[in-house]
Amino acid sequence: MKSLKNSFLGTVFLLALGSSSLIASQNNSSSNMDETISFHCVTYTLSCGYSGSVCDMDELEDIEAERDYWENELC
Amino acid sequence: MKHISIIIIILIYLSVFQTKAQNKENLFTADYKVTYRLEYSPDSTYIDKKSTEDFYLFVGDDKSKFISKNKWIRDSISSKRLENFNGSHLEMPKKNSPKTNFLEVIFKDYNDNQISTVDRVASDVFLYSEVIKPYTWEIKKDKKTMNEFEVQKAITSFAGRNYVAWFTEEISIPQGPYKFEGLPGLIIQISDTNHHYNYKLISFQKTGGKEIKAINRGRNYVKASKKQFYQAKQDFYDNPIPQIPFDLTPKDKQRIKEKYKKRNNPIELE
Repeated sequence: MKSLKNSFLGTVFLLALGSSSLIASQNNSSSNMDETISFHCVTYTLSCGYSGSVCDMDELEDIEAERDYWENELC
Repeated sequence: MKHISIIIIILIYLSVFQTKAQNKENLFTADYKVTYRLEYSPDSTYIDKKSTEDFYLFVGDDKSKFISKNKWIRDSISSKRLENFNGSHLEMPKKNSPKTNFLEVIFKDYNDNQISTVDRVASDVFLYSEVIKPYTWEIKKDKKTMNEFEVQKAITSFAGRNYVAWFTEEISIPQGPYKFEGLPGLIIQISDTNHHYNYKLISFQKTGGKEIKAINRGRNYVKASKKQFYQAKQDFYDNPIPQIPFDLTPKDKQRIKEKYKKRNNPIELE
């Protein structure tokens, strides 16, 4: 029974590990960026010297899009 | 115990496949990539001052995407930068990305007969949707050769401007730049009669089935009507400084005000 339990937990752990790394690799591909991690605040710097921060955005792509927008508009 | 473990394993697999399916839903297969060059007058008070920008039109079976080439490049560079994200700070780019004056991305979906436009005003990303309505085209007898294609003239009106288009039946794709469509072949050139906006084909390529990012409806867009979006954009151009989240120098404030003041000639007037 104990070995069955250990084997079961090991399987779940490996599958969970496998599933999260799959999500991460899919989400970091250039074709489709959907981050599932929540970031509280991320700071960024524009090439023209201005620094900003974005808070409470769920998707990393949104944060980068905001940074890139201001870089394009202001610098 | 055995049953519980089987159920949990099934649930984990289902969640993985669901994620895969969701990602798949955000892509469509484009068979053609058309590149257009836009020559336009951004400032209605100085019409002779022209700017140019290139655009990609990706065409699939039932979907299309129209995006500025420079925005496409910027997005690709951004995606690569995210791979180096350290968890708290986004470094500034080492390589300068090309500038764009067109952040809008136009998606057409013939399954739900919708044109969806995503565009950004300051920190808000807007999404407005329109029903794909057939254009009233008047096809003329005039023909000529353009880009090695035999083209034929057609005229229409759209959003407060009158347009002359040249299309070719040699490419039987009823698409064109921006939101234009509905002719019996690909639009090779289209210009308003005042020559404020003039799109001309640069290249037409078969992609062999390129996967293109479609609209992600799960995103936190500000959903608005076209009128509300244009109003938000105009408000920002009229008074940009309060919406800019940086402590700008007086010199930069002046430069930015001047820059937006010159963006007063949108393609859609109504």
